Amino acid sequence: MAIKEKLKHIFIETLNLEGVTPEQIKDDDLLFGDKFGLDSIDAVEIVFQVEQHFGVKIRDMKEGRPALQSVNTLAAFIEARQ
Amino acid sequence: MDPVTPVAIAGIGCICSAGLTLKDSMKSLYRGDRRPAPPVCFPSSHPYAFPVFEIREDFSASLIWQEKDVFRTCRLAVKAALEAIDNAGLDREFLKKKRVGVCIGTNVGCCVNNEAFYLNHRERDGLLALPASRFLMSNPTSVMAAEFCADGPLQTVVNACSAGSDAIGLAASWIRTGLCDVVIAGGADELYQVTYTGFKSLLIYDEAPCKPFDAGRKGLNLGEGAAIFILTSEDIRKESGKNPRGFLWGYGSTTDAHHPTNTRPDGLGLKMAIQEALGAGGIHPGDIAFVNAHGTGTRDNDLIECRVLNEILPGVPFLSTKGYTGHTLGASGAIEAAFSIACLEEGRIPGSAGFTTPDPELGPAWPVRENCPVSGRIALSQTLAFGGNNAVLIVGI
Amino acid sequence: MYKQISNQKHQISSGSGDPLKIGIKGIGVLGGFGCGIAELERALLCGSSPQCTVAVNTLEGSLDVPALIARTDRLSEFVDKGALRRLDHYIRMALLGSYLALEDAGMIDAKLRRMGIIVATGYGSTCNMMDIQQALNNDAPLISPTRFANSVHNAAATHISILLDEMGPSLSVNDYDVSIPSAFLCACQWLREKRVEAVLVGGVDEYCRALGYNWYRRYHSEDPEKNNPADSVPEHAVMGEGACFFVLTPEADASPYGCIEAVRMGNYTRGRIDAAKDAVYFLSVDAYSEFGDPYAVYLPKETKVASYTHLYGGIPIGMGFDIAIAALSHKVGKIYVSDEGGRYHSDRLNVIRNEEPLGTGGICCLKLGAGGTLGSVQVGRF
Repeated sequence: MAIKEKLKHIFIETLNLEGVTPEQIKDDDLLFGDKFGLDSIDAVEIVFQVEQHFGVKIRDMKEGRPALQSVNTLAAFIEARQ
Repeated sequence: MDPVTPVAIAGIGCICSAGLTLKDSMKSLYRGDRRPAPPVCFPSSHPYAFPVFEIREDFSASLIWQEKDVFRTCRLAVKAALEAIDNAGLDREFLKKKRVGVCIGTNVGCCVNNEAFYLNHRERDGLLALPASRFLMSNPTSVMAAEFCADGPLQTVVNACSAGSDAIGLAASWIRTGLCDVVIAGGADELYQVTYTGFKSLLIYDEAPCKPFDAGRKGLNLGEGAAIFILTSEDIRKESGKNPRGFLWGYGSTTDAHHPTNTRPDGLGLKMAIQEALGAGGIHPGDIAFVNAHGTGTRDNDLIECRVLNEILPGVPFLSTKGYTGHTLGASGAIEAAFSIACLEEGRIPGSAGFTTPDPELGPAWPVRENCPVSGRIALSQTLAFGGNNAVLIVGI
Repeated sequence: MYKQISNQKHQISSGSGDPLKIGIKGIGVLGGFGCGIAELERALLCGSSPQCTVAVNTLEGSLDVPALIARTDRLSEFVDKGALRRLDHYIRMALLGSYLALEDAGMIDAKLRRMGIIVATGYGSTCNMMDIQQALNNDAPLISPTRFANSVHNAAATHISILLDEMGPSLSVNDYDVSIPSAFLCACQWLREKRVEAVLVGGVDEYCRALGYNWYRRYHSEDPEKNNPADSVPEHAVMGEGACFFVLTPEADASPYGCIEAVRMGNYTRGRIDAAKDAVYFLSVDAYSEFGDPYAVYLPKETKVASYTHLYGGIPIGMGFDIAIAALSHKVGKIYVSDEGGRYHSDRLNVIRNEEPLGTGGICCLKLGAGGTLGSVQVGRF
């Protein structure tokens, strides 16, 4: 599965986004805008899941903040480090 | 709540990485000693280990339990209790004749018994870990009650990082309302792989020794330890023939009702808890000699604490002692209240370890950098817990 | 050996020694019997709860064992689904118990100046802890931060305070099978001290697979003729889970359920606890206190007793359900039929085998727990 698709499935499952489908998560949607209701715990959860599923480490939120803007930015971050 | 009468603190005991007794710990603090190091007590799977404040020395704790039977958190608690009882001029035989309650705050002390279940489940043919027996070996309140034959109320407070402060505050009300003659109260927590890994996963664990209130702070370091206060009624104090070491003047307790892990940005919960504690004791902010802040070294906690202190207690010197002990979780409130009494006795506070560069966002006041004299007989110790509990103790000599 | 309990000590009462009069204004319960006080009453009247089974992995393969499991579907009546997104079953049970209690008290929309929140648990958030320990055992360098945050013992109280937007004091306690009296002790103290106007106090415990495995090891029959090990399991040994919450206020006269008259804690092996005279005793018996059968030893002969563990299962906070049943008894004026007697020698004690009117002595809910601990909560009429 492509990285972006996989990320969307991971978000839905591990953040328990009930009722949200992968198609509803646009690649350039702001992950931490109003659409999904995510907060700081979800941010560190995503960091954890990225390491689990892709083996890519985000060391702190200084590094994480720009990467976690959207599916696009996160996929690019992962690709650059795999 | 109505104003309350102060409750006598007959004796105090403390054990942490800074020292095996309160006296030894204070010597380390005033010398500026810090001993963070990678953990030894459990394997760290991380490629490189984050620093902890571990008690490396052997310490014996108990006359009743075999070392292997009882979990480390309980042994830490009993060690501190033995020192406290001795400090109070009491002994086991005296306690056996009195109504003694036990009120201990802990985090790990209530998780470790699950490990036995998990291992049973995993290993299948292993010895059956009966729930009750595992609990009795791992719960510091139960172990303490058995050790000292306490037959009064028992309470294990599991309010995360404020558990130790809450336990002392709650225990004081038992004395005031005549439920007990004596309460063995405080907090205890050992280093544990679950909490170590958990805080790392939350990205609030500093890879270097922690820097509370510093501009470059990156998170906390964990520690372990225990502190116990022997609280007594006035009748018991008279019977012992000894003046109390100090008094608990006030206790304030609130909840942020904001977020499971983040501190409330407006600091309202902490402000309310400080005001409640001051009001309970009839204490004026000008009476406070210093504040032992929670000061974990995380970006948010330190920022909000500073803002609140600058607003409510401007000009009152403050420090964090977690740079010397690490964050001892359920023990922290009790250990820091113990340090507060000792500092009042000494008339000076140690420098806030780890603080070198002021953060402009935290000003106008920053913690003390060096040992500095304080005058006054009353201090404030505050803890802000995971989950939003705020507990404030006002102690005096 | 029969030991008289003597010397009244450690009883919380008002300063003069008169009983407390702390009103029970609302009750919220969920467990294997269902959800809400009406369903608990239904189970009391028919004498049983619908039992389900849980699958336990054993060396012999997967085994279905009986359990009394709680459901939290009704939580959506009170809380937006979005707000529940990260919350696990343990926290949801505590939340639902709290909302049911507030609803029963007519206080869902009440905005008190200050309310205290107290949550007792015997096991804590065990499912999370098991998963975390499994991950660490597999050398995981990190664990799910969400699961870790939910595993901390005060997580249930945290989420209750967040959703209720209540900034009053909050306390979480873990004293195994005397967690409930420990929690009630504090609730009464807070009301006595006027620290708060009301207290939402209760308990929650969840089933987890390791407890199921424990049960299997204890009760699994070695006899190949026995197909269903549950045949040999006493009623009170069936595992349970659930939550029970109460709204307590200082105004006892407004309480349909009666009031809390006394809370006692102590140690029965050191023999210094008083037995409440003329009370009916609800005994928190279950299969997990392993210290023999102290009730028959420590209660006076012929004491009227009842046990209702068969309705909610073996669970450390079980005494909370007994308090709910005691309160219900006060509301309806009768004592419900007890279970068969289990481990407390019914030759010495007077087990209530038929419904009977509630007398004037009140009901004392009693736990003689692990390590010799004693906890009791006495419920009486105002």
